Amino acid sequence: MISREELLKLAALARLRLDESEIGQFQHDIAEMLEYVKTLEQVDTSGIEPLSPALDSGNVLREDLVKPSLPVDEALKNAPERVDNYLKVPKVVDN
Amino acid sequence: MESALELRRRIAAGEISLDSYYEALLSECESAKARFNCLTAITNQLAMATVERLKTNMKNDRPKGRLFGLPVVVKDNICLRDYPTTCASKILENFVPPYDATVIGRLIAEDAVIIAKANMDEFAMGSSNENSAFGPVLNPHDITRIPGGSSGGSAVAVAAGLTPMALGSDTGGSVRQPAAHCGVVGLKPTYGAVSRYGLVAYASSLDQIGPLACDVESAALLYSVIAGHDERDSTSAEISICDYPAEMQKSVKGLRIGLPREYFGDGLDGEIRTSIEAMIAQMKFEGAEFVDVSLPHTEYAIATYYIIADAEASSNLARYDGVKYGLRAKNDDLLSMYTNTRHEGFGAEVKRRIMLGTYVLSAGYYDAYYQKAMNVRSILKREFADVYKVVDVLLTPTTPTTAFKIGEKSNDPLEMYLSDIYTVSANLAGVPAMSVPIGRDGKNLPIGLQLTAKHFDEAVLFRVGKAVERLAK
Repeated sequence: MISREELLKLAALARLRLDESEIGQFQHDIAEMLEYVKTLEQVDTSGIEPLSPALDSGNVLREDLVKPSLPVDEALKNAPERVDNYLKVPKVVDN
Repeated sequence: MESALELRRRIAAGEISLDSYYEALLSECESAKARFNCLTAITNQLAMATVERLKTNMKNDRPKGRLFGLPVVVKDNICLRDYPTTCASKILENFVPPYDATVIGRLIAEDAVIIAKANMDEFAMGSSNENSAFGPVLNPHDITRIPGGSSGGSAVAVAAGLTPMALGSDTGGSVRQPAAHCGVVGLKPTYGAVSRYGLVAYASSLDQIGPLACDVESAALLYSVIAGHDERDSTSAEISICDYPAEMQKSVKGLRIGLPREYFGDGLDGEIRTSIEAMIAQMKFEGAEFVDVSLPHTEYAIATYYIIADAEASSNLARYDGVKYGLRAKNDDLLSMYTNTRHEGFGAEVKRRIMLGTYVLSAGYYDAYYQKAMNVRSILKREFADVYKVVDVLLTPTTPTTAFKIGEKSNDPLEMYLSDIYTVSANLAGVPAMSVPIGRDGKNLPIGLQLTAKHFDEAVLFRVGKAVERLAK
C-alpha cells in the first residue's frame, strides 16, 4: 500500500479529485503496479544509452510561413465558455 | 465478408447499386450497434452525401479512387470533422473537431464512405473494451465475452460484416489483440509509417493508427492508402509503398522465420500452441525455414510498457482541463474547475494510469522508474534489431488466451495488463506487427497468429500473412 497522504499528494499533482472509494482502490492498485515494475531492477542497464527516438530522423524543421488557419469561430466552437474571441475561465489572479 | 477489392470491383462496375447497398448497410449498422454496442455514432449524413458524390462521379465517368464506394468504420479517437470524437470518454462527450485527421482526408480522397465511429476503451486505455463511457462492446462470436481492446468496436464492425475495413489505433496491442479475439486481420504499422495528425494522443512514442480488415489483402489496401509522410506530423516518415499485391503472390519458400522462445512459455494456452504448431508444419511443407531465436528481455516488456505509456498519458491528458474544449464541471474557482472536471470526466482506468504516470515522473522517482524503463526499452529495441540480422520475420501467438469473459479481469488491473504480453514489445521497439486469424479453439473462439517484421518491412507481413491466411482455410 502507498500511504493515503502520498496518494493525495499525487492526485493534487495530477489535478485529480478522488472519491473515498477511489482512494482505497488506488492505494492498492498503484502499490501492486509499483511492486510489479520493480522487476526492472533485475536488468543490468549500466552503459546503456537511453532510447533514441523511434525514428532517427533528427530535428524536423520547416519554413515559418503564414498559411490559412481555422477561422476563430471554428476554433472556439468547442469552448465551454467564451467572451468575444476569448476563452472565459474563473479568476486566475487574486485581488 | 467479401474482400475489399472484390467489393470495390463490383461497386465500380455498377453490379451493386450504391443507394440500395448503403440503405441496407446503414440499417445493419443500427442493428449491430444495438446488439454489440460496437459503434458510438453512425454517420448517416456523411455516408449519404459521399454516396451522392460517388454516383455523380460514376455518371460523369470520372476516375475512381482505390477505395471507391467501400465502407469504412473509424475508431472514435480519430478526428472526423463535424462529428463528435469522444474517445469513449465523458470528458469529450460534446467535442466536435473542426478538422479531419490526415487519415480521414486520405480515405475521402480515395472515395471511401465513412459509415460510423467505433466504440473503444476510454482514451484507448484497455485490453477488453470494458472501459468505455458508452459501456462494454460485446464479442459477436460469444456475447458473454470481451472483443479485446482498445479498438474493440473497430474489430467487431469487421467481424460482424458491416465493413471489410476499419481504422483502429495500437499503443500496446490495441489493434492486434481485438483482431485476434474477433477473428479478423489487424496491423500495427511501423512507428512513423502513418500520420497521427488528428489522432487523440495517449502515449505518443508508442501510438500508431492501423487497419483492421476481413482479410490480409484488404488490410494491405487500406494500409497503402493511409501510409506515408505528412508535413503535419513531424514523426511521420518518408516511406516507399511497395507493390503489395505482387508481394502477396509470392510464396514463403526460402523465407527465414524466427520463433522467439519467450513467446511460447508456460502462460500460453494449449489450444493456441497446438494451432500455431500446426501452421508452422504447413509452412515448413511450403518451404519456409524456421529458426529458434531469443528475445531475452521480453519478460520485462509489460513493466517497461506501463511505466512509459502511463508517464506519457499523464502528460498528454493534462490538456483536459475544462478550459478550451470538452467538459467543464461546476466549480468555485480555477483549481476546482480543473479537479472537478477531471473527476467527473475521466473513468477509473484513465485516472489510474494518470496517477501511476504522475508517480513515475515525480521528483525522486524519475530515475528509478522512467529512466530505467527507457534504458530497458533501448535493450528491447536492440534485441529486435539483432534478431532481424538472422531472420526475415518473427512468428508468435498474438495473445496468451482466446477472448475472456466480460468482468473476468476487470477488478484486477495487473492481470488485465498481462493479456498484452505478446503485443507490447512491437510498440516499444517501433516495429510493425500483424495478427492473422488461424482458426478456432474448442469454444469456437478465434485464435490469432502474430507476425513481426523489421522497421518499414510491412511487405513481408503481407506476404507471409497471405500465406498463413490461405493455409488456415
